[in-house]
Amino acid sequence: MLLEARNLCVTYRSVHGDVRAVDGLDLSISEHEVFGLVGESGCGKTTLVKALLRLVPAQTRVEADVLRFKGHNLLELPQRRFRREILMREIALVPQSAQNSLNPVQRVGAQIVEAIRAHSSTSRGKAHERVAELFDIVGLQPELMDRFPHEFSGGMRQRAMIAMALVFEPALLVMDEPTTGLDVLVQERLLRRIRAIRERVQSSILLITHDIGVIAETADRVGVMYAGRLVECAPTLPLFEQPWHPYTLGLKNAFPSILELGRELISIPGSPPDLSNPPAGCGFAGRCPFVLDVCHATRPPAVDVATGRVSACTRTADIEHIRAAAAEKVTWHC
Amino acid sequence: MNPEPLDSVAAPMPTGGMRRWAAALRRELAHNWRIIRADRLGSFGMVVIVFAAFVAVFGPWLMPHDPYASLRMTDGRMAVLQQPGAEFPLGTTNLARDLLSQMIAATRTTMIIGLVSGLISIFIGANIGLIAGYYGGRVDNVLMRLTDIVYGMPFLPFIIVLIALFGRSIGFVMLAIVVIVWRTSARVIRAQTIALKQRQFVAFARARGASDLRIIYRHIGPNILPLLLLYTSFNIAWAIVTEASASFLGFGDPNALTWGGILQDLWVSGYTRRAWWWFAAPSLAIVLLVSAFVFVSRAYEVVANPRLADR
Repeated sequence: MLLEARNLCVTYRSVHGDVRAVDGLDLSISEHEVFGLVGESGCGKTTLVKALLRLVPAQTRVEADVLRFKGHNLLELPQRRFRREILMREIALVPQSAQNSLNPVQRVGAQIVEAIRAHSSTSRGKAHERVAELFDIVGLQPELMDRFPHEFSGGMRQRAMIAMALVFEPALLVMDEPTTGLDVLVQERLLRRIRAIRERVQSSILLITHDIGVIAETADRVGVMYAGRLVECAPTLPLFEQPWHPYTLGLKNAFPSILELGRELISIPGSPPDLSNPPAGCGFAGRCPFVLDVCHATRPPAVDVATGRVSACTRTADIEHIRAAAAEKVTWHC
Repeated sequence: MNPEPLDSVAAPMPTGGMRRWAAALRRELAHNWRIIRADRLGSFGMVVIVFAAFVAVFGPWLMPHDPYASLRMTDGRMAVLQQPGAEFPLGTTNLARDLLSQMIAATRTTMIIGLVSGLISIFIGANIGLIAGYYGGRVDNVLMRLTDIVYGMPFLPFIIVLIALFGRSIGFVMLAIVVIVWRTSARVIRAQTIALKQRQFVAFARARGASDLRIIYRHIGPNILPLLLLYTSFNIAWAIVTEASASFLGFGDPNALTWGGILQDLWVSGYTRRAWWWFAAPSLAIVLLVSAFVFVSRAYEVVANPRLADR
């Protein structure tokens, strides 16, 4: 297991009280795996990334029963070692909004060269050649190294960020919404590029997005996040074919499928719970059409529902009935 | 273990780095030249600064006379208070000293005081601003209260006390200027740093494991460069003016000729009304050099802030 988190909680402190943005999340990623994490805005995806990379504000509490990465206990690893040995070398981030993530007054190539030299004793010349090589891998002409970020298009910048993340072929590549803000054609090319990169390097990828299409095309395994928890986790194909959690069913309804042309999209009514005052029971209970009284009272634990599949719902026994009902619009909008 | 992916790369040409540096330097110079050329006042300022620097460096070879010697005219009379003319291009003083030579000698002192105290003060101000702005919290509080205290120090009483304690010398004049001048640059650069540290690329640098110092000096630093250049030349200009006023009031080094010192000699001699040339030369020189620095910085500011170009 490359990354293992058990009961991970991230609590932001604010004057209005604590906000538990990630609430008891279990997550495991194995070597050379693309793990997709989906969920709507505000469900804690980005907070999870920030917690993993220690980018959360100083007052934030990050707690977990287990948080292991490659044999390191990330909860206890000193900041200095984490910064020097883990970041960039072992865990590299491809940030959300690559548009603004490059230093505007430094040439793109020079920024990557600097990152290389900050983490290893590499000569300037060698670092330069490494960048040229990486530019080739991500599909940028090496001549573009001497350009400034504002001379790059959005897709080019995104690819430059991926090149920077790949410098040391890290064990884990964290991509936070890599396709946000790109049009579908550029998106498609980028995803193809990510799949190609996967063939060439041994890195695992944690792909975070709210776009189910991106996940379906790229990920091996998918985690569905809701209100700070992982409500369902499964290999990609089975997850979309046979969801086990009502929220996943709702998500699936809300996205167009190429196999069912003309199917009416059904949205999930309501909005996620206020995490500064989280519900005692299941986070989805307030919006779930299949809710029982027990759902509001106790939080359902994540249980193995099939091989390699986990779902956190009290009504897993009724899943056949729920799946059939979820396909009807009246179930959601009555 | 992580494989070292860089070992597979062939060894680079040994001269590659040097050549790249030379090319980068040439590109930067050409680029800066274009910026200055594009602005007419900026070009004028640059010419004045280069001229003043030339005079400061080669002064001893340019002076027609010893600046302290009492001179005679060709007919043998003492050249007391001569108007500018063929023999004495800028005229003479009441002690029959050649003003041109005095001006040339003073250029060096003025330039040294201006540049040294201007550069030291921007160095201090920029670092205090960057560190206060980046770290925030208690560090920010301590440094900014220190800046507030310095803001409360009036320049003239401060230099009078300093001179009274330690005697009149260039060193203490420069020290007094540095102690006072850094405060504005510190405040402005702190504000800019606070704005920059919120930007995405700073957060991303942190996500790459960049240390605080690297973020401050490699990522935020280059972004405040336009502001830094602007305040460097402001500080130099301010230092020159301040030195001139200190010298004029008699707090300058008695053994060093400065433009302000020449004005003080005039004031002390009591010929202010009669010898217009005696105050014209140093006053014009001060105004010209100070505005030259402001014009050049303005030419850069137009690049950093294009809205100014419309004016």
